[in-house]
Amino acid sequence: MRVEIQLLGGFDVRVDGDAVDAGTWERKQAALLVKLLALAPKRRLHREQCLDAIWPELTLDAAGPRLHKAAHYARKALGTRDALVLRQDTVALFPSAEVTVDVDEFEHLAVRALHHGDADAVSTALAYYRGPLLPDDLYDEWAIARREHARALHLDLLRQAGRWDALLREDPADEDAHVALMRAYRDAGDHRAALRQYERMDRSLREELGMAPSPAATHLRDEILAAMAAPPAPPAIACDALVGRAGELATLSRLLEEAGTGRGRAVLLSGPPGVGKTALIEALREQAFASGWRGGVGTAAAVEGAWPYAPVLEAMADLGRRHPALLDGLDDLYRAEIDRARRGEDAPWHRERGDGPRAIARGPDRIGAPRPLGHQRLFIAAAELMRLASAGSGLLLVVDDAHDADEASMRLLHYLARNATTERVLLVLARRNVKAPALDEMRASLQHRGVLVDIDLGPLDLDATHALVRRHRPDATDETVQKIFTLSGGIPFAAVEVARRGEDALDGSVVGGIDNATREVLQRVAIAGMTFDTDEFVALSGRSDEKAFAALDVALGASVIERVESGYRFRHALVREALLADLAPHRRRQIDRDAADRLAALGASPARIGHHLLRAGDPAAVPHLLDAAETEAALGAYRDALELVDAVRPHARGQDAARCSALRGDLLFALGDTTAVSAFREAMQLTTGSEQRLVRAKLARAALYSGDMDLAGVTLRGLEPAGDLADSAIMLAKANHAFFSGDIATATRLAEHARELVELETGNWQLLDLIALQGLLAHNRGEWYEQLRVELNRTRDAPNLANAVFDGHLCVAEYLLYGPVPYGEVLELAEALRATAARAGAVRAVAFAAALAGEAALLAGDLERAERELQEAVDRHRELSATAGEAHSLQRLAELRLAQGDRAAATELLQRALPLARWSAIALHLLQRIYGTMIRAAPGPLEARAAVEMADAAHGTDDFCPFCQIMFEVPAVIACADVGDLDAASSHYAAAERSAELWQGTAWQAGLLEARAHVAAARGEAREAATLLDQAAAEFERAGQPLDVTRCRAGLPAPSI
Amino acid sequence: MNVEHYDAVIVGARPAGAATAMLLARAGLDVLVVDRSEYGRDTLSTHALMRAGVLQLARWGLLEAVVAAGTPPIRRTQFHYEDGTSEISLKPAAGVDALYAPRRTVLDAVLVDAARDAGATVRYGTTATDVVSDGSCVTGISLRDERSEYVVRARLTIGADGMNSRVARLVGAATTRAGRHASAFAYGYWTGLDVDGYEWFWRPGVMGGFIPTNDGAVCVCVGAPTEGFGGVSYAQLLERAAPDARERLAHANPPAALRRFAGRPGHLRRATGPGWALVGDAGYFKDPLSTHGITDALRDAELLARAVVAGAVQDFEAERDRLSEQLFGVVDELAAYEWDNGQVRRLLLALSSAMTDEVEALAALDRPQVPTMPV
Repeated sequence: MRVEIQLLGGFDVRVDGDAVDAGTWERKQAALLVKLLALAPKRRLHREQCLDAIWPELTLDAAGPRLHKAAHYARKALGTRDALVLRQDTVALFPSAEVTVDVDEFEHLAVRALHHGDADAVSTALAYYRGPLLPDDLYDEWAIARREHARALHLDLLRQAGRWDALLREDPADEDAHVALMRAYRDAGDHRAALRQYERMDRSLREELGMAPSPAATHLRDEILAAMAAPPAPPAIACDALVGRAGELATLSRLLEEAGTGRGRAVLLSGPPGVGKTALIEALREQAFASGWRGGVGTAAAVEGAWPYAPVLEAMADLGRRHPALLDGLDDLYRAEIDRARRGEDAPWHRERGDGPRAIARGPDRIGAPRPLGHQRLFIAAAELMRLASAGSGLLLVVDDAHDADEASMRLLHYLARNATTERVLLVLARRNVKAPALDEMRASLQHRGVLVDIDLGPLDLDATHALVRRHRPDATDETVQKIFTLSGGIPFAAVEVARRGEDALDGSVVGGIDNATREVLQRVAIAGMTFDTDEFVALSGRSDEKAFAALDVALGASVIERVESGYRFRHALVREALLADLAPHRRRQIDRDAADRLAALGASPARIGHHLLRAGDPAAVPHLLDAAETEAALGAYRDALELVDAVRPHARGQDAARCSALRGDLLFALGDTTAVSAFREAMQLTTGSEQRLVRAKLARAALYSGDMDLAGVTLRGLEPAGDLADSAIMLAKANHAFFSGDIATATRLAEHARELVELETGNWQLLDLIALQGLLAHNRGEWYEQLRVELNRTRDAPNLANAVFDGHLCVAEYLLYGPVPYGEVLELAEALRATAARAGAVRAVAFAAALAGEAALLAGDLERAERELQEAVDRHRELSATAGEAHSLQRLAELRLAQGDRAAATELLQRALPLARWSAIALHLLQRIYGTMIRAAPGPLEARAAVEMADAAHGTDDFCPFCQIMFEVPAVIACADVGDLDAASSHYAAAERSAELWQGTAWQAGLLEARAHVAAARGEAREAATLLDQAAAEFERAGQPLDVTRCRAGLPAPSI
Repeated sequence: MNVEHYDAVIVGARPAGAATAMLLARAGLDVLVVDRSEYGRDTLSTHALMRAGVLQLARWGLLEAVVAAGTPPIRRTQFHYEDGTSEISLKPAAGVDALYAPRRTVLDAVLVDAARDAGATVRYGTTATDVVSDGSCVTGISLRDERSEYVVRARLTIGADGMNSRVARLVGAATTRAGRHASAFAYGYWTGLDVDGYEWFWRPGVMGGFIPTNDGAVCVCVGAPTEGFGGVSYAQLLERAAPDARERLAHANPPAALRRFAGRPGHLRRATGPGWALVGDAGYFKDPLSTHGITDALRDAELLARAVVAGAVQDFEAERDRLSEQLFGVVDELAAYEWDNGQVRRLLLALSSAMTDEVEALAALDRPQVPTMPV
């Protein structure tokens, strides 16, 4: 018998020349078994190896029978009993036949060909590679290494054969291939194509922070540029615009110097277009670089329809490119986070693409689903890179055209600016004085904290204009200068244009010296943004390479565009705007539509394509922009995503309309906006089937959180499991509804049902929700401890799951702690839990027990024991890499330090807890309590108020746990009241009250009273304040929290107004 | 008697001396380099080359020989702290796509061979006993080998003879900056230790490093403040520095012998004077916890050689100091061991930052001085 097995490019088996019919592989496992054995040395494996590979999730006992079944079906498919032989503990594939496996042949030929370097051998080997190994089994662990090996050999063969185009299709970042092609083009005299190749290499490398073409490649590029008739150097704008800016430059220099001592600031440079903002920044940058500073620049709206955070991330990327070695000091976690955001990528989001029915894959669950606060991790990562880069002489980060930036960018900049106050950092933002609400909001907030300095750049006076004009026209008379001054209004850009080209320059256009054909090409390019590369230029032009290159040369020659590191840009935003201003509306719409098509052909992002279609008034924009909105949502740019969704909503029809409203509901929910309810309602009208069921579950959840029990009830009525992906969300919503309606028995039953449906994977939000609910239920029955014990047994052998389970209990544990169970009893519970857990070897539970005991001891005022237990909890959690537990224990330890009067130590612990919390799956529970404690740890009322603000900025209203919210809101009320900020105090109080409703009968009612006392005092109602404080003390007493009693009895500090 | 004349005589054929000799010889100078030891002799070292060090070997065309000797490439660094581990992948940058920690038998031999190939005269078993001066300027050096004592004349006498440099003492090179703190170190070569990159351990009062070098060996070093170092065993220190590696160490083969370094505060000395110059640890030494000594030696060899060739040897010191200033300060603070987890992370950020400046300065040496593109 002769058997040929094909694994490369697909799976196929031929027995004596006859193909095994693909349809006969009725069992996937049968095919897997054959593939696995075909890859094994001598095509045989120990049976346990087979079981491990194919059924990794099953025990050996459970998997055993399946192996026999799979073997049976494999024999059936292969048409012979001898195809698979199970003897003793060995499984063999065709042990007695003459078998060839294509990947073995390929590897053998490839290694020989590479060794001997013979061209014929190389092409023979190449012909053998029909594609990646087992392309249908990409996620099977056992095939990965072999697939990579074959792929690497294939790449080496292509390299050896000099098949550069093919090599680049396989690996677009292969520098050897790019450089070889550059050389080939250059040798053929095609310099443009050579440069375009360089840009392509640059673009593919750009994906990764700090990656750039090698010095050798850049050197080659420079040689090619030199060989070309070099375009005239761009006008020395920096030098021009700096006429009359001595004062501003001196201010900036002083700020730079101050920042260099570790007191970082933000500068907002405002002024009309052409006034010289960019030039002033350039001068500052030169100065900074001369003193050894590092820098990065990003420009908002470099392209229309950019990613969220684009200008800030571009500045970070620019920094990384200039200083790649710096990244040797940046944790991979941070680098990956920044890269992910730059690529607009979120792993779980993208994985869903293409799987399953579109309705579900794109369903609202994406936002409620695993979403470990991506944007907060990005914030920390960006701040860490900023810190690293500023650890030398200093760091100058610039965001130009900030008025065009997205809201997400503003939040990130805000965060960076706050974190810069103790670093050698100067953040410079340049803006025009146009409407930019997010920017204004950021400015106000930073100014309030004294972090931001405003610099207004006005037009030049006559003397300065005089000097400027004389530079370009040394012979200009006073009269001419006066005239130019009047015409230009003192705007240096305009003055220089007129001085150079005469008054016509202001006559409608700053774009001179180009013919109409070139102008039209440039308009087509300008519509897409300020910057572009050769590929984009050619595509957008809609012309042949030859004609496009000719236009490019004219434009370069006329200084309409100029060359930059990664391609080209218009010389000035005004130049681009002037080109576009010429376009009649209908023409512009046409050009927008063309741009969308051409960008789509280039594989541009949905955001860019959709942006142009939207401006063309083409409803085809809708699906693109919804894709873009989903990406933004994944990156935490909720408000920007919402803006996109609202923009396309009027145009969305059918499926898109449904998708649109569901996404809108998710975004509003994520933003804590109660109008999520009406969005989901609308979505309900537009959806059908599973999608609608999911939307209904979401609507019910939103209704529950907004306190509308009736609506939740009505929504859920008649909704039953139907065997689809909406089942778990439905059961969970129903269970929650039952619980909050007081129907504990039903809630318990439904929660158990939900438990069977929710996928038990770590970090799944539904799982955490569920566990929290079950904890609440158990607590309600007085069986919380029992419930914990059940979890304990369940998780003994699954450490990852144990983390999820015990993290899920965190909220509930708080309920227990602040609830009516006496602390002595909690301590006993914790002891018993610890003993059981230790016996069972469930270390995560031991750690949890230590934390619980420590917390109880702390609240009960037993500081010594609290210290011991919490320290133990911190250590244990750390050992287990249980970051949530560690952060939680650190936060409690910080409270202990506060109780001991050591604010500095408390703050330090909280600083340690913060990043851990952010990276945990339950960040939204932890962050609020950490920020709450930070407020309490602040050294004075002003600092406490600032801490509230910082927390507001960091978590905003984006993510919240309604339970845990109170732990932040109560201290926030007190801090705001203590500095007399009554507006802020009352808004935090409202939030605290909402949260407190969930905490009936607990010590948090006392907390609320204490907060009210502070508010009353701030209003000058001293007697009211004293009464409230007494009540608070009494409540705390009842709850057995002596430290809190003491604090309330001590009375209020004098208001600091 | 015939007195030999050289353009430069270099005392010490370890990395700083051998590299300086190679570079000067490549520039066409007549160079003699002497060392009291013998060719290929091993020596105490932390081995780890940082990016700037590998960059130098690559620029000089010597990296291939180091790689060919089977030196494992390092593409990953882990920093272990008391409160967590930070992992960093090394990506290609400045033309360097991996780091290396060659055994000194490999590295020193490669450098000396390159110096010879470039035309330098190398004499082992030769000790420098005194400098020769005409009263205002050093004009040569007295040497002794097993047969005789003799004098060679040189326009420049370079001390590359380590931190206890005799040349520095003989020419009276003043200390311009002195560190205040010092670590004592113990080193051993382990085999069978599961390590796939540099690993650094920073815990209060102690630091350690796992450095994979040739032949499957891993140099495991531990350092602690000099005071109180005695009386604590290598194993105890290792346990304190790297408790998270306990398991891995238990499954590996411990070293047959240990080497110790008693510790010595860092120094910057005058780098040049009339007729003399200092390079390597002789002029600039910092605590070994930086594992940056060889890297800086390779850097300074080039800075000195360039200054010599340019006829401006006196410019060397300013450039050396400019690139050393921040790192020197940070390393001294680290060597104080008075930091906590948060502070050590900050200090290491500053260290990374300083190393970046160094890489960039070296990479810029090759850049043609023509105007490049506006960016």
